[in-house]
Amino acid sequence: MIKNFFKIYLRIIKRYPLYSILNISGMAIGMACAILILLWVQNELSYDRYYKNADRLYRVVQNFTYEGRTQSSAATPYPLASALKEEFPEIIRSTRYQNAGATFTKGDNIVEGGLAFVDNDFFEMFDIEFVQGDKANALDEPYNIIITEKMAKRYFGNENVLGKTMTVWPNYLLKVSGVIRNVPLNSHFTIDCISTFAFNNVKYLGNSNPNVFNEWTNVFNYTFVELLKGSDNKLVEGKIKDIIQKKANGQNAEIFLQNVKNIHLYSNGRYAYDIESGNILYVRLMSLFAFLILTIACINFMNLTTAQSFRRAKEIGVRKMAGANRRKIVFQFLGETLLIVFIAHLIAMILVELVFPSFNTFLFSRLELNYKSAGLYIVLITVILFCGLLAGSYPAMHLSSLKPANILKGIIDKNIGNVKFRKILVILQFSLSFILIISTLIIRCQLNYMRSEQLRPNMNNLVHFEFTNGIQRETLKEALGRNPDILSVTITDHQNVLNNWTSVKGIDWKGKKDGDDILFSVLNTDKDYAKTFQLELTKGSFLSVGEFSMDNTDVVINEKAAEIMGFSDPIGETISFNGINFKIMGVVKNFHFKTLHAAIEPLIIAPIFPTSIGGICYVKIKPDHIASTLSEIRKICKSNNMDYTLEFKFLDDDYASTYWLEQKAGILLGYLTILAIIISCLGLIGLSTFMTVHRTKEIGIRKANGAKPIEIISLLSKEYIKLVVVSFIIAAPIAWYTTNIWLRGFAYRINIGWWFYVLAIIIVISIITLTVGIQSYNAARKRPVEALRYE
Amino acid sequence: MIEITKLTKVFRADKVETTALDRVSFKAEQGEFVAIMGPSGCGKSTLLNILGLLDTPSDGQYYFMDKEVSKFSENEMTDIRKGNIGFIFQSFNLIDELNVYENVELPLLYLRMSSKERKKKVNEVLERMQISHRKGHFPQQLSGGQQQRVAIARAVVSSPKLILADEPTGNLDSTNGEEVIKLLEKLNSEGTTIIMVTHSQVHAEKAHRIVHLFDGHIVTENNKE
Repeated sequence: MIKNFFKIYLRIIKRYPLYSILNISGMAIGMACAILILLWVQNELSYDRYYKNADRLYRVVQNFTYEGRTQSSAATPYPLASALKEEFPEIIRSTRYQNAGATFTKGDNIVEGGLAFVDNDFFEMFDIEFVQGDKANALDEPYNIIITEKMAKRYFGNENVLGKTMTVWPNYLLKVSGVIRNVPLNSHFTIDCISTFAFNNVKYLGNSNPNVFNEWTNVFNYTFVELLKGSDNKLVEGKIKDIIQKKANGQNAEIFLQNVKNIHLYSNGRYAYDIESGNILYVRLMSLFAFLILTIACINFMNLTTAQSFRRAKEIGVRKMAGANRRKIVFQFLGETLLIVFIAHLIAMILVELVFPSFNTFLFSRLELNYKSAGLYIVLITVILFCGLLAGSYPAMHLSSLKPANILKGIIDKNIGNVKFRKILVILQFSLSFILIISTLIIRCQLNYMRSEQLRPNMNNLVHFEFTNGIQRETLKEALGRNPDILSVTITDHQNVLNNWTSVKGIDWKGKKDGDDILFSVLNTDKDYAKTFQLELTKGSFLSVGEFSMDNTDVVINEKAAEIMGFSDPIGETISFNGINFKIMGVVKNFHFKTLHAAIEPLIIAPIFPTSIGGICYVKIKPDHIASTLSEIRKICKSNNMDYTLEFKFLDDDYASTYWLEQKAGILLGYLTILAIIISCLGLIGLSTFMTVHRTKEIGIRKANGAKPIEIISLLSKEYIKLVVVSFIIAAPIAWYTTNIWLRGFAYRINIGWWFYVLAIIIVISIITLTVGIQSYNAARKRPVEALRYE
Repeated sequence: MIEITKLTKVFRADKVETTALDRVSFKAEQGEFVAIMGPSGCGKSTLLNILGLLDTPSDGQYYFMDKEVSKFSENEMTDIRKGNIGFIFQSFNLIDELNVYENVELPLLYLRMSSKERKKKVNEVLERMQISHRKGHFPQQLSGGQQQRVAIARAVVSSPKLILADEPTGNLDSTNGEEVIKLLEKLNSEGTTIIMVTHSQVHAEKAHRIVHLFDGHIVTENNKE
């Protein structure tokens, strides 16, 4: 019997190749998209779940509240980790964690790698496996370094590396005290090398303050804790809040313990270092898109299959007469659908294989297409069953319900329910297409808006590089300033201009309300910052010197800070921090120094402290002379005893990278929308071919009675236009609602204008004109006699 | 009213050429009732389709009301057809999705007549065809005779000068067939030109003149008067 079914189906493919190609290819494209997306989603959801105590591992997050608005930060005071373990029995392990950029050098070569700083408990908590060395004392010496097998191979080749020395730029020598297994790709930690906080202090703080680790107001690193089994989170959160309040001058941030499994998807770039993290919103959005695309593909299938049902009707009639009951027919058609879906999935996997490398590169993801992993088969089986059952159920139910007597009398085409159902399916398909098109347009627009110049400081042709020694800041500026192709130079402390800004609490000013505990961003720089970044001053003047001294305590604030402090005229007012009084001498217009996700935060611009060494040098270059000027800069640096490799970065690249997730999502969404439209078109072509054939006689009669081609075209298209209008009415509010949710993630966003909707309608109508219109035109142009001849 | 000279129609299917009409000449005056007879496949329907501007000839001339129309475009043919020619088919050719009233109304819609006028005309003609009691019904709910009366109603509703009937009685029993012929005679007596293809000698006798077609040629024309 099954053989008989297959035989019939294979003959149908042969007899109606166009129909079969449309059916299978639409399904295959839809499935390929869904498989890719689901593999990605599966990977996103798997982050940080593999630690044996993952359920009890938490990151300490502080929530600051100011006038009802909450500001979160995962940066916590230096001494917190050790204090927690000492004082609370519920916390059995704790570690600090900080991740910083580092450049490793070997001779003249740069070896890329990240450098993390942790405490000893880290290894136990996060299942770090040592291949060489001893985890108990690997971090005992300040200049020790632990590296992954991959890093060992990259830096040393295949040697036995324990005890060997690595150079951290510019000239720190670290001794390898351990080799660990590579950290799995689905860990939010991206670790190549691990060193000690003591070294961190030397490298980044110039060892200026050996007591830095005891300062509760220094908020640089993350704190991870492992709770005792059965501990109450809420209770522990309260205790942590109390200890911070006690130690750090009455700060009263709310504390919340973020489970390690949630870090990757639920941090949303709110905390420093998490810039390249995932986002649950996109996981949900993409899953939704996978579902939508599969649904569109299934609708196609249902449409085409039921539209063709008259071709199968006779077979069903005969089968029923020969004794098949309804269940047998249902199984036959479900089986047939599963067979098609299975064929489609083979084609889909070929497509997936083809685009997989580019998909990975595109998303910066490191997904693997592993035919031995259960995950892949879970995805495939889910997709096949979903499609097989969804696409097969209606045709099977419909075809099996046909009455043999009617079939043999030839009256099945008038099955009105069938036509209605097909209309509903087409409406659903159009609605989904509308939602996809409108959302893509809006998302694209928001992305363009963020790239637009008006909200951020001018970053064009702005190159920066970090230096730590070899030259005085003023000397370097002077040397660079002599080059005619350099428009201006400014130096900041070791802070990236887009993230990682130092945030400080405990700032006081006249009239500060009790309980206001506000995090201010602080930028340490020199007098040329405003010129280089083209900041606009609204009041007073900018910094006049490069370095802080007790004679020169001038600072500049932004409008937001002025608003918070509530000064009617901030110029000349005093703010104090750590016992030092600073004088406000200017206010700059608000500018975006962080991503547009966040509202503009209060900012204090102060001179660089003389104790810090080096900094980041920002150079604004004339547009046409970039390459030559870069080599000039290299020469100047070399001649000033900075004989190490400089790493030049362009600020607009940095800026773009802070939105990489949105950018990628926007582009991916665009592709998905195009694919969804293509799949819908395949379905429309099939459906309208069928409809036109079905209505040939009617067209002939109408023409014989005086209808012109244009009237026939409008008759055939009217149906679709009606469906488009209904679909639009359904889709518009849904698209509006969903995109609004997405836009809410941005403090600065576009308004959704009416033209998005108009454009979507124009796109859909053009598509229909192309697919349906051409066929209608052909049908309408035929001489009526051709339509009436064969009856 | 219509005149064709040396009209030829060749059909091409794959590599086979079939000459359906071979240099046929024929003329019909205003108010005539002409019957066309001949065996299956002799070209009767092809001739009727060309006369009705549903198809174009491969060669030859066709004058419709003194206009040479054989090279007309689809749009121009439609313009001539509209309001001038009514069709009656053997298989009725009613649109299944439209009811009796809407089927009859169809030609008036394409003539862009006002709805009031349409209503008046459709009701009038339904009355005349004695089918008004069925105007809300759909074609498949009617008997063959009733369906053909609806088809005739549709053919005459726009008061065309020419009615082309392709075996109008072919699918009907003798009583209903008789009635259809009576209706056509009545229309003819009111001044409509009628050209009818038929297999029935009895029905052909009602016409003024019978044209015999054989293998694409007109073999005889017997003028009864």
